[in-house]
Amino acid sequence: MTRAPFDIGQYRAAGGYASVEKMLKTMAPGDVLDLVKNSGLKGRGGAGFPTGLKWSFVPMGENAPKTKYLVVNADEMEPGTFKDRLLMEGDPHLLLEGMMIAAYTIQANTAYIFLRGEYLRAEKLLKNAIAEAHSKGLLGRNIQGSGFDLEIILHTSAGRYICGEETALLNALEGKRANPRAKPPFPQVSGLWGKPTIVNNVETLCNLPGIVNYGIEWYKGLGLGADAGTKLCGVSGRVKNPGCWELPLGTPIRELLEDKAGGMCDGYELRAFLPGGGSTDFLLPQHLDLTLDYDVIGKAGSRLATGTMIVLDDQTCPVGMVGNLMKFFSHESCGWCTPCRDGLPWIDEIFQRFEKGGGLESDMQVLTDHLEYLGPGRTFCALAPGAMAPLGSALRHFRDDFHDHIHGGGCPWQR
Amino acid sequence: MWTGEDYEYDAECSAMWELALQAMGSSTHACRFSASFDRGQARSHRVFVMTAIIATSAARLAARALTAEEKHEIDHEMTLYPDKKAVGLEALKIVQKHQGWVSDESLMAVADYLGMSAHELDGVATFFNLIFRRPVGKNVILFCDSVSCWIMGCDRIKDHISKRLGIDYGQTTADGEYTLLPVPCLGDCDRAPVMLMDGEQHRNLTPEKIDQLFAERAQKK
Repeated sequence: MTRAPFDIGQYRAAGGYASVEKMLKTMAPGDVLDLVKNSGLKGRGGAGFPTGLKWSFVPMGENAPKTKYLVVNADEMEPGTFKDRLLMEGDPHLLLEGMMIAAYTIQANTAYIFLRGEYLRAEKLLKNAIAEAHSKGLLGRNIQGSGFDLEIILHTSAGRYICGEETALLNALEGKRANPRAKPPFPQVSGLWGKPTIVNNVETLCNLPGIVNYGIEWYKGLGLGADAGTKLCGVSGRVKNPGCWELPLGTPIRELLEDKAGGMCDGYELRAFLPGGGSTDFLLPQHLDLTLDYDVIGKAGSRLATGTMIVLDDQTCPVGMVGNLMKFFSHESCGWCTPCRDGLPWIDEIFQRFEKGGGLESDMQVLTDHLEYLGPGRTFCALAPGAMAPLGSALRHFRDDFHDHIHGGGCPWQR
Repeated sequence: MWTGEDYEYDAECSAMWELALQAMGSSTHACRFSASFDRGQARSHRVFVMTAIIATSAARLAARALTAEEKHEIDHEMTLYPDKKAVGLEALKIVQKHQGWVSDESLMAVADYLGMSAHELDGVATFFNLIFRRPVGKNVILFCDSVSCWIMGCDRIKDHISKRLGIDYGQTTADGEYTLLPVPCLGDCDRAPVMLMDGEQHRNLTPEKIDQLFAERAQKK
């Protein structure tokens, strides 16, 4: 992203905030909810949960709590993920417009953006955009004479991956250590300061203005397969043209890797890839003709997740790559539950030994056991199960590489 | 507060207590230290010992006075949240912006100001990667060591920086100019390897680029 983002004048001239004007004039909150539900929009943060369904759990009506919150999860820190930063730096008003739609739907009058502390440029641009929107009467009290009030507050964090977990994020926003909370109750019912709260990812919210402006049929028509809409898809690693593109869901992975990212760098072959950030299972070259669809990737044993693909080439050590991820997850474990707090450092220590040449055959069984101990249902949140995705798939696909490390006295790429 | 009558004496806790006192003497902060004897201790003992440490720490260290500017900025943050405690992290960031790091004296001052206990606030301070509880250099280099940067050879770049500055991760140069820290994925993976210095992201790093960057900075000084 090289151009400066649109200021509010340029943004409005290009059709910006039209969805908010349309919504405030012609739609009741329930209408927007139905629209988003029927649009098929799924959360773009990683889990892919249907957005409208998530919203529908918020208590509405006269007996519902008066105070509700919208929170934007802008704590992008998934390894290999670089899409929300592009949106916030390239089009901060689009995020604010999406937030207004979400906040109006659940009738929240306060919205927090939980921004990653390291995203300094995004912080500056968002602050400026919020001030601009205020000055034009798009935020504040009685917006456009609709009777709807909304304040958007920018909160900057200070670096901790676990804050991406929505209940940990809420604890952090309340000024506590960012440990995840037990669910239920879910945030939609009891979230920030015990009030009904929706937490949505940046990219998810940026889909909303289009849906309100152009409707369900248009939005569904954007997707090429079963899923509706478009998705920001990125490629990093040894490819000719690494980057991030907005593509229709249902686009073949091959098109992303070969047409957009230009294929592998000269002299490098594709060995495997993580389709959606560090917490996804490795896919292989044979999977290139699969499409970027939540279910399609899911059936192949991985997840579309953040949609930002990390490419492993044939001259990079797969064991080292997974070891790097394990070090990350181990460091970022919040320490709340035992399997994660003690299991991940154990795994990290094993990978360090693999690297230096102290690996044991028995380590393979220990790693395999951890797939279960740290798997879904065994931990408090999704951090450790996420870490097990690249580990488990690496143990399946790169058995020989592990063997070389254990019996060859360390990493063969370092020898 | 710590009261002797409530404290069930046993040899193990006594040893902890001695260690805690030593730690206070060398200004190691209480909560990080307390974590090392958390495990396996009966909860009641833990609470008493921790309270004792905090009480001791209060006796030996005094909260410094927050500057008018710091107070002003913290006051503004308070208007944005329904609960004073919620601005703990913001307040720590404000203090760090002005002082360079968060000393025990600063931490206690913020805790007093927000009506929190020092250990509660330190629990927050020590949780977050970017709150510095030890002095750092004038420039903190946040060097991305996550997966995409690793694939693109960030280890080699890190070694080059380490050699050039004579510091490893977690260390500060003798002249107090630079501190080098690893940071998780900076979200710039298509332009890896990357690092953040002085609020600016530096991308597609090579040893030559690093040399150029530091040469330019030396010239500016």
